[in-house]
This record gives sequence, structure tokens and C-alpha cells, in this order.
Amino acid sequence: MINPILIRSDFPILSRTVNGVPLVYFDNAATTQKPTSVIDALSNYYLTINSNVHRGVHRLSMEATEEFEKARISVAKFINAKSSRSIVWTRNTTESINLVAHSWAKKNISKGDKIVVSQLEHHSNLVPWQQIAMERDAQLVIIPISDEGVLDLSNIDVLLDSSTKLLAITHISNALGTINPVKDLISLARKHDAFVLVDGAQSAPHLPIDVQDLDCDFFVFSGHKMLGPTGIGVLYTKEEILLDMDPFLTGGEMVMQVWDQKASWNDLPMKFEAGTPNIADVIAFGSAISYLENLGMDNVRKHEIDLTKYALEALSKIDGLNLLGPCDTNNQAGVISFDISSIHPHDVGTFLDQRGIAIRTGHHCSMPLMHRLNLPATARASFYIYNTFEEVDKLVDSIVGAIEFFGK
Amino acid sequence: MENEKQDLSLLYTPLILEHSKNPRNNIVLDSADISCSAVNPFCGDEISIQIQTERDKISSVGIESTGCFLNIASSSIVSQAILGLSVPDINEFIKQYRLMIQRQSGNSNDIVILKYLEDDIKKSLDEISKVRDFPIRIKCTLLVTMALQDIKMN
Repeated sequence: MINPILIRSDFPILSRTVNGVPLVYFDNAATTQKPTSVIDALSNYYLTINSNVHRGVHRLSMEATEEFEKARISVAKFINAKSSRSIVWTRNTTESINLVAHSWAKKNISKGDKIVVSQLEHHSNLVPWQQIAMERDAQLVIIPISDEGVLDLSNIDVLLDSSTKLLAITHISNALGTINPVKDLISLARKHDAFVLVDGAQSAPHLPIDVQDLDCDFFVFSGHKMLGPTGIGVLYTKEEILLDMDPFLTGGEMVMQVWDQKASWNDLPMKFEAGTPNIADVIAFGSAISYLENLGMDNVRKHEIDLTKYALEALSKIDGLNLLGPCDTNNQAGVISFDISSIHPHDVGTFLDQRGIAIRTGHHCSMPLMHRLNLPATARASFYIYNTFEEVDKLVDSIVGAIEFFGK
Repeated sequence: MENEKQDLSLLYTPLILEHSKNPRNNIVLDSADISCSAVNPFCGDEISIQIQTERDKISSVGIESTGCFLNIASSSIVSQAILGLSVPDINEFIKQYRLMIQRQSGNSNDIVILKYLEDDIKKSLDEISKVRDFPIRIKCTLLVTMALQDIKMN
């Protein structure tokens, strides 16, 4: 069981006010707040062990390297990867996907191959594949969705067939909260020997993840959406695939030996981590993982289901408010997108901000999805471990207030 | 860190809301001498403008804008304000409009390029300039100037 009241005392920022009223932070799908333990881990690194990793023989470097690699092991354990050699640090989910596009896809996608994505993708899991499709003369295929934002799999046997080389799919839609049946899709892709990348930016923070059970080839996510600092992303890749991939960036750290005219590559995973890494943030991210593991990811999910059910029920009663997405917590995460026909989402956002409530408004980096829904933008509230039912009440009251203020 | 609470009704005044619900010059011209458009890639708001001239003066304007109340209201107000201006003066108008919104206590008097302003346009300009107290929304009101600075003669 999660007690958000207790949890809140670990997050100093949650006690500040905005516009004279307590902050209600509902923009967790964009980035989450950080607990004191993460902030302390970050500053303790600089206060006590600041040094470069993997190269010094002195004590500080040894301690920093140990902490840095401990975080890698924590992340591997968190997603049940077989080995921490499968975990490559990147800056964020976007960079993880670009790494796969550059180092795997350019070598493995050929003319006429299919790359299958869905209508729910964030730009970060769409644009790199558009680029690869253009460059390799491959075909980009998009799995359509229903009006409720759920994948329409009625034609999946035609879309995902033996010419498919890669299925790159989001686990949870950042814009609508839809949870995709990725395990079923991965089984189907396996039948056609296609590779699978799962965009876990919105799932790793909110659901228990087991990459071996999913059997995906690549799984990507960001630290800052799960209590960690910005600037740290993760690329999980099956080790046998990673071994066969070309480097992404080249230079220091990623080499084994360098001669005048050529170089050989370092072992996994350093082969993919050129230059001094983001040491402090990696260590702090390790602390974020510990925080989530102490809570238990099943409990995190349970708390979000409770909040989402409660919010969906209350919001569905507001006249003039149109809920988007599945509206069913069996296949919806703690993300609620809505549209008020009489008010543009940005105006709703400004109104709520005046009442201290932070939501996201806009196209959520999913313009093709907005086109499909025939909306320029939506308003989105997204929940996390420290959100309370009382905060949902404030959101609902304030939306009613906004509709009154702007006039129907 | 803490900023003073701003009164929303100072920005979303009845007149501004009226502009956004019934934008002026929201028409497509049969023919235009000038057309321009702009998109805010961060929010998806769009605006396209057509201008017809007579003896180098703007004689009619057609504006289509989609998005938030502030973009629509601002483009509606600008469509009224620029009628009668000469085309080369548009650049100066853009400069003054932006200055009005961005400087402390700016108001319609900043737009000196408009030698005569009808009272209702003057009031609309005064009220839209209050967006300065909501800095994150300033870009919504300036999208119309992004379009105008990119004018092309047809």
C-alpha cells in the first residue's frame, strides 16, 4: 500500500506554493519530482567522491566507478535484464532510440523491409524511423487506433508480416495513457523473425517491467520520469544483439586500443558510451531506483489505478468535458487526457496554473496522433506516487471553475 | 520563486473573450496581394493571413487562426488595427506591437504608427497587452506578428 501523505514528506518541492496556493503537480508524464534521497545522492557525489570513472587508480575514482556501476546493476535488476552488460547509459529515451536507429537499423534494415510503429508513438519513436525508412528505402507502417486511442489490431496480420524487420512500439501512450498489449505483439513479431523495440518511457516508471518475460530486443526509458535527474536515459539491448552492433559515438572511453590509423572497441557496454559519462546523474538515478523498489512497483501501479479510476469517474460527470483514451484502468495508466470543446487546452492550463495546478497542455509530442483524433491539442493530467485524492478533487473543481469562467 | 497571483479576469476580459469567440475579419478573400502564415510548433496553433491593397494601403484583411483564445483574439485585434496601413509600415507595426506587449505598462499609445485608432481597437490593444503578466502566454499573442513578418507578395 502506498501512503502518499508519508511519501510527500520526501519531496521538498511539494510543499511550495504557486500563486499563493499549494502546488498540485499533475505533470508527471513530462517529468516527476525528486525525493531528498536522489538530490542528496547527486550532491554527495560532488561533495565526497567527485572524479572520473573507469580510469583512475586513486581512491576517489575507484569509489566513483563503484557507485556508477552499482547503479547499472540496480537498473538491470529493476527491469530483470540478464546482465548489466545489456544496459547502456544515454541522455534520454530519444537518444536511446537514435542509438538503435544508427547502430542497429542502418546495418539491418534493407530496401523493402517494413518498420512497424503505431499511431500512438511519441515523436521520439517515430521520427528516427521515418529517417531510417527514407535512408534505407524501407516502408514505415503504422498500426491504426480506434477513436478511444486503443490499437486496432483487426488487420495486424497484414501490417506485421514476414517482411517486417522491426516493430518499434510504445508500451504506454504518453498522450492518452493507453497501455498497449506489447507482449502479444512481441510474440507475433517473433513468428516473423522481426526485432522489437519497446518505448518504455511511460511504463518503466509506473509498472513492473520484466524484459526477459517480454522478450523484447530493445527497451528504452528515461531516468527523470521516474524520480531520477534529467540527462540520464537507458538502452537495454539483448547482449547478443548489442555485441553485433556498431558504435554510436566514437572517441574516449569506448575504445580498447587505438593506433595511428584505426581503433578497436571496448567491451560492452562501454563500447556505446563515448566520452566522460553523466556520472553524478547516473549515481542519483540509482538512488531513484532504490526508492521505487522500496515502494514496490505493484504498489505504484495500484495507487495509480485508484487515483485514475477516481478521477475518470469525477471528470466524466463534467458537462462539456470530453475524456480521451480508453477510460478503463485495465488498459490505461495514470494519464488522463481531455478536451473541453469550448476552451482551448492552453487557456485551461493557464486557469489551472492560477490555482496552483500543473498540467500539460499541447500536442504532447504526438502530432500524428492529434491529427488522428482531429484535435489541435489536449489537456493532460498525469499522476504519480505522491498524488492524493484531494488533489484530484481540486483538479475537478478547478475545471468546473474554468468552464464557468470562460463561459459555455 | 513565488510570483504574485495574477487576476485572470484582467487578461481574459469580456472584450478579449468576445474577440476570440467572434474573431473579426475571419474570412477568406477572393484574391489577395499578400499572404503569409505561421505555426507554433510547440502547441500547434496556426494562423494564415491574406491582405489586399489599394494604392499601397491595406484595404482588406482575411485571417484564419486556430488554437487558444489568446492567439485568436490577438490576430482578430491586429486584423482591425492594420487596415489602412501601408505595406512597408507593417514591419514597424510588428515592432511596436511586440514592444507594447513586452514592456512594463505598455499600452496602445506605443503603437504610434497607427495615427488614428478607433476607441474599441484602442481598448482591445490595451487589454491584450495585459498578457505580459502571463509571460508563458506572450508567444500565443505574438504568433500573428510571426506571420506578418514573413509576408510574401503574391
